[in-house]
Amino acid sequence: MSAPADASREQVVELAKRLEVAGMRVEQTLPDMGVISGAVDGPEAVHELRAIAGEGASVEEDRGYQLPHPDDPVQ
Amino acid sequence: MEEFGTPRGVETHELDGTTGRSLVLLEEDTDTGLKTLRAATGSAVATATEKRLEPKADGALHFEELGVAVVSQPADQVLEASAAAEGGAGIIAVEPERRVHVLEGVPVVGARSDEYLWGYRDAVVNLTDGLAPRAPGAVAAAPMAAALVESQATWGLQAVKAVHSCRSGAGINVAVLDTGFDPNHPDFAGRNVTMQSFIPGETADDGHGHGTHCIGTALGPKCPPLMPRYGVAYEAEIFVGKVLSNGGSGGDAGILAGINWAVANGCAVISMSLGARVRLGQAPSRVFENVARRAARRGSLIVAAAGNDSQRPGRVEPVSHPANCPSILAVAAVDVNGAVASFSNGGLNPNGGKVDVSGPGVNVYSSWPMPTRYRRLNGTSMATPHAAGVAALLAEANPAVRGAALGALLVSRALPGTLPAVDVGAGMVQAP
Repeated sequence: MSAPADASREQVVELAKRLEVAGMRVEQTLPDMGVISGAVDGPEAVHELRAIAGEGASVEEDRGYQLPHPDDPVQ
Repeated sequence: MEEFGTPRGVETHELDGTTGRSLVLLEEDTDTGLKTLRAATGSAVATATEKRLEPKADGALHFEELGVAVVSQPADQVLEASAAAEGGAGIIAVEPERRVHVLEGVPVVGARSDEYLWGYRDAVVNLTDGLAPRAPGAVAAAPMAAALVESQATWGLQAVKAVHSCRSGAGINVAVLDTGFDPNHPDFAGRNVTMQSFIPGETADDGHGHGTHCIGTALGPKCPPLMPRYGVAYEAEIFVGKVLSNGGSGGDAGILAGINWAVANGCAVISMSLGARVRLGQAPSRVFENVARRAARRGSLIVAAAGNDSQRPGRVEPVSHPANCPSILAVAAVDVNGAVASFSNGGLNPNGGKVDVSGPGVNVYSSWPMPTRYRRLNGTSMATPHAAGVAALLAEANPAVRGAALGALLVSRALPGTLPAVDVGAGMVQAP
């Protein structure tokens, strides 16, 4: 998730703590980028995260990326 | 319409491909630059409209949407006068307006077929698209057609004008977030390479090859032991962030960690030849947009691949995530004839989903992990590091221009062909 655009480093770290207390397994906090990554159980928990993070924050599911096989001529 | 495309008189600047006028890049969201320009030129600055695309003989014309003004005085004069007038406040860069060649055989309103025009079509690409009639079946301009010989440098380096650039990327940190790098590649012996893996259980060594190919294009040497030259910014500092595994897979969290690392290392340019498919109408990621803005504020520009999901001419897919974010530059792929690559995605989605620029992305020769050493590949993945390398040269040439301003400069200098902006944005990136 990303914290609100104007959140300071300290606010991002503080938000990560609150999310952890609420049950998020925080795996990575990037205060300069305003990003907190981690895992929760189920869609209900995602709703809860949104409520805790508040307006201005964005919660998105981790997307996967896959390059073609190295032998593929189009990369 | 009448003014549009009127050939200008042949001036002495014709020889060096410029028009004697200048392009002024203004700071966003402020009138300061316009005020400086008014004081510097001593004349009013008109606003561009569809009917008004040329400045008056002694005036200036402001393209509001682009934050660019065309001034009818040469760049050195404008630079000097604006520095004297207001200390240059609000002006990011001043450049000579370049003359752009139009394909012979493409009818252009009011122009001789062999004439050149649109010195500033780069600045008005959005306005002109649709106004210039195209010959049925006409494909792209052929500025590179004579550049097929790759004995000294790849066609891509020739097309982006890296070969004759006096810039090398010296002093500029460039991050390539990809599958890593082969640190034992002989072409990179003696280079400063900083490597970091964000893939658990894997070193930053490249077990795929994609990363080594992209790094070769953006940052390969000026004189490789075996010719041709294939790298743009040959003296830039190399930052290798491994965010895709040896199997070619990765996720948002690792990519965000890589961006964070690149920003913390002061990388002026972050090249990401990666993407995930999006649907038509899908909004861009707010998380990546927020991150790209934060990165830009700290001086890092992110360029990313438009994606390879199309099968032209029948099917065109929208620009991939995260290149579809407004603050991330999306790079399309073109071939040696200037035609858009069949696989290259198009700017179909609103809110940042457009293509910003194009780069060489077909039959691209670059480094590959040893012992293979070199390979030719196709993809918007190959076009993206061309754009990143050119951005590094521009960053070297313009030490005060970073982040969003560097992106704007890269776009404003791009060379438009005859292809629509939906496919190639402002056109082929051009080295300073």
